[in-house]
Amino acid sequence: MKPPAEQLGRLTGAAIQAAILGTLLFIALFRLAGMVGGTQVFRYEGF
Amino acid sequence: MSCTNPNQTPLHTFRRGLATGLLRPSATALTATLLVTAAWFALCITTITPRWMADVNPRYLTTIPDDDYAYVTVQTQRMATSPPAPFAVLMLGNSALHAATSEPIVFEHAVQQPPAQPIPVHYLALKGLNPIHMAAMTELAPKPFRGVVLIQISQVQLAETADAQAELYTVPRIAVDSPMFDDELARVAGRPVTRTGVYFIDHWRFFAHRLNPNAVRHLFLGPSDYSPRYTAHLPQITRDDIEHHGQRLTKHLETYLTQRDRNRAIIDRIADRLRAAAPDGPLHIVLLERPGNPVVDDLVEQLNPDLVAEHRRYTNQWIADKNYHYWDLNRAANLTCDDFEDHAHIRWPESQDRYTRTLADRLAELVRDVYPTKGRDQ
Repeated sequence: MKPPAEQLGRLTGAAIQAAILGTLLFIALFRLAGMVGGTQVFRYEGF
Repeated sequence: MSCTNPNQTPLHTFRRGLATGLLRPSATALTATLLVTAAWFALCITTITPRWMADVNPRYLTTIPDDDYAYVTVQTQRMATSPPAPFAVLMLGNSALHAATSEPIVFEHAVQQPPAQPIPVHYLALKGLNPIHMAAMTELAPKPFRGVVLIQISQVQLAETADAQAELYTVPRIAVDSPMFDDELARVAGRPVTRTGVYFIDHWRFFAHRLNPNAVRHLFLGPSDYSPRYTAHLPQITRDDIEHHGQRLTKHLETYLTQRDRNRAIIDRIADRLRAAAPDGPLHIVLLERPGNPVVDDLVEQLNPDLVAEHRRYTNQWIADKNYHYWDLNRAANLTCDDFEDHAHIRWPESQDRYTRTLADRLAELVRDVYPTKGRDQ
């Protein structure tokens, strides 16, 4: 049985890891979707 | 069995657990990661709504200096959430109108009829705007819409093919909920537009493209320096450019005879819906000929004399049939070849000021003539 302080530490660490990775995963997925199928911003380059 | 040093304080133990939890993969962390991703998604769905878009500073959404799509989307949502006015002006045009306009506020100042209620002017000029965009914008105008709706047209716009317009299916450009947009798009694309009813999901392409390093920079360093004023992209037009534009426009006009009725029908449906929503009026539909380089236009006429003459006949018949106004202000604004960077985009600020003033004066004249008497009394 791990001490309660260590268990709390592990839980906090996992929560921080999840917050960081979850945010990065959201950005990565959405960014990937944007690159694959996002609306391109039309740049006028002459007629 | 875990080995713990009895001399370690709870803080040391906590830190050791924190490091383990932070760095070591675990089923708990993986589950929580997926939950956080889902939470971000849920936050976007619940936060990013048409109402939110009406309030947001569009400069946070602009990804490049001339990202008109974000700006016009926000302007359209603001118009949609504004109350109906006794009299208002709605201006719809593509980049040619945008390039010809110095400051939209000039129109707003020009049309006011004090001491009557202020007349709002909704100026929505968008690169590559076509009648399907117009359908969305007019549908979102507060109903009943009374006043003046100005729609920019040109022979090339009437020649635009259904295939070209069907690209809006995958590249919608603006993010607005409009059943009429969906109907018109389904008509040209030949397949229905499916919606979930959730704004963020239905317009994911619009938002996905805007989540980029610029967006992150804007969040921390402030919004972009986007200006709704048109900035010229090309150097001064040359003789070779004129020839090139003449040939390109001639190529575009190949589809004029087959596409004009279809494009006209979209505009007519827009007008009919507006009129049906405000049966007592006043509602004036103005077709504005696009600002054009006179030398290129002359060349196009030389190359296609019959087609250009046919367009004039067709337009005259059209405006007579539907009781539209038709304005071609190119001569009145004294536009010359040197004012343009190409066939339709005015390059110089002083030329933009001149065209803007001419259009504002004409608009003010119409508003003075048609503004309802009861409106003046308010």
